[in-house]
Amino acid sequence: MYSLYVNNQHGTLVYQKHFSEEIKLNSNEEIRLASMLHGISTISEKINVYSLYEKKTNIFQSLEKKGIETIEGDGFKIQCYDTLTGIKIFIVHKDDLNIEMNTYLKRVYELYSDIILKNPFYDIDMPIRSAVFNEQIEKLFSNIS
Amino acid sequence: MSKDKYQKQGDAIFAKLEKVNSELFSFTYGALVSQLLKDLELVDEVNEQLEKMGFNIGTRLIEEFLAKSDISFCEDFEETVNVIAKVAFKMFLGISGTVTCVNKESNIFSIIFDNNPLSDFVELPKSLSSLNYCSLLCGVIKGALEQIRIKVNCYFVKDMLKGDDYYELYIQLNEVMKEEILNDEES
Repeated sequence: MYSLYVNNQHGTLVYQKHFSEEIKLNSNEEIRLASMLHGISTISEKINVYSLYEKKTNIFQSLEKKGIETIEGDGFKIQCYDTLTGIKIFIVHKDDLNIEMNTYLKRVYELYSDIILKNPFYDIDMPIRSAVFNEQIEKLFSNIS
Repeated sequence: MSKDKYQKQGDAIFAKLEKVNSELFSFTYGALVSQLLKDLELVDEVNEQLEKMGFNIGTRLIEEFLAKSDISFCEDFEETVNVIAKVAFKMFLGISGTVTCVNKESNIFSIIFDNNPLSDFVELPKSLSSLNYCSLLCGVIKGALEQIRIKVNCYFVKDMLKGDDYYELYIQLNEVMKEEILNDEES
């Protein structure tokens, strides 16, 4: 397990959590890379070959998120979870980890809605600095190496 | 369309969520409305403020709804309204509504329900006949749907506090906002 990230609907990084000492990126680099993933994911919807054959008769079709779900590289894998509201939760882990990661990302989404959004002093789209949220995330991923 | 499906879904989610005594919720809301009536001079301003507060609540509540239900995106507006009436209302208020299509061309749907935990114990005095006591609920729906890029009008047309036999809410679809990438020539 390397890192967990949360992007807001505008592609700005609002939360990052490292589980490994191997990560050497600084804050600005992470913000830039997270924005890049947002852009790449949006573009990937447009260049999807199969979408040429779909009939977009229904305007509600455009509300469905169809961006990048998985990126695989040498030694690592990125798994993304997109919500209908545009939040993107993604995780970077070793490629030999055989776990249904979407279950964990969905659980992160629940924690986000319970701990962050119910705090009346959290401004939406601002960086998340919550000790309770950090604690719960650590607990959630404590069993994964 | 199988409407029973959403009923079951709403019941299943309701069964596993933590609950609170509805009277505490009613009293808290009643205290909020009373305080607004003291703070603001005009009843119209109170209505407006309740809807604005509801809107702010709705923008956050939608995330909990999406996180805890297994609802993915809806195929059309009728399905959206059914999900609101049978899953979301059940999940957050413990009630279930009936959906009918009022006007197909204008995309107006109605949700009918006959009890409302927000207004238990409430009797409106005559001097407040223009108060929309539950307009926070309309604001919540507008705020939640706007977060998923659906713009609606939402208002009560029947209200038990005003002598009607049941509550009826109209939801009208205004616009589905598209997310477009600008061409390079345009920017």
